Amino acid sequence: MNKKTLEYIFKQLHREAFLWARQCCSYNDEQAKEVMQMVYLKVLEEKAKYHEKSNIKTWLFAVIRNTSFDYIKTKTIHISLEDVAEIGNEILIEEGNDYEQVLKKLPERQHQVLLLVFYHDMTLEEISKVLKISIGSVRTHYDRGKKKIKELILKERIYETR
Amino acid sequence: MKQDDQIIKEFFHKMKEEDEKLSIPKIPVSPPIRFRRWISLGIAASFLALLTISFVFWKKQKVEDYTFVITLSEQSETTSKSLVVQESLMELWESPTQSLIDDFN
Repeated sequence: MNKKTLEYIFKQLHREAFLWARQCCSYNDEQAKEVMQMVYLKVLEEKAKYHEKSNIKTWLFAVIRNTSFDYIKTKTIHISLEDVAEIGNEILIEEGNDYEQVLKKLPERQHQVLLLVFYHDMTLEEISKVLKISIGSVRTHYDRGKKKIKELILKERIYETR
Repeated sequence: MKQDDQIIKEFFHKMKEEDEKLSIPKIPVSPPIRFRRWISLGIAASFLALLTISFVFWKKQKVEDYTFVITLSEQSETTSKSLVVQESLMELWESPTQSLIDDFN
């Protein structure tokens, strides 16, 4: 696949890719922007190559997930003790966003599997490629995640009706 | 089970609607990256050129330091005359005042 075709596909997938990057970065817009920059750089400099083994969306999502994982890992190391208090305050402020807060209560794998199934309309097989885990594990996270999120949604509804 | 899925689908559908309000940043365009490549190539090329020029100058200077002149002089005839040096041996040495002694005797 030549670069122009790849760029065209990226333009088509950009919105969804950015939203996935944001979801991988705990819904932080700024971090997601940086991750996307890094992803496009990786692709254009051919550090991440598409070998047409899977769907391009699956491949792009896997690159985004790996990049954001590495990015967050390096970011968390450099947080100074002085910033810890500020972060604590930010967390308290963030509590207003309902959907994101509900999803954040799930374990990371269940959170990502549910997002990929229900938000990004991916199959379990595609998810296994994005997260680099077996389909069996994906199914387990899917079933457990569904059960847990249902409980959380119902709990939220109870609070709303009170 | 289907009802469970419906609750979850509804949740994500509303989440998507909420995300519609988000501003998506523009796609990072490729020209700056290409341009950056050219910049790095330019830096590398100019560094190489500078290195070559300085090497040439250095080599030239080195040659100048060790310049020596070879002059060829033409001699009309080759002779060993100058090479034969007459030296007075100690046995043959005669004091300059020897004649006075001789005269006195």
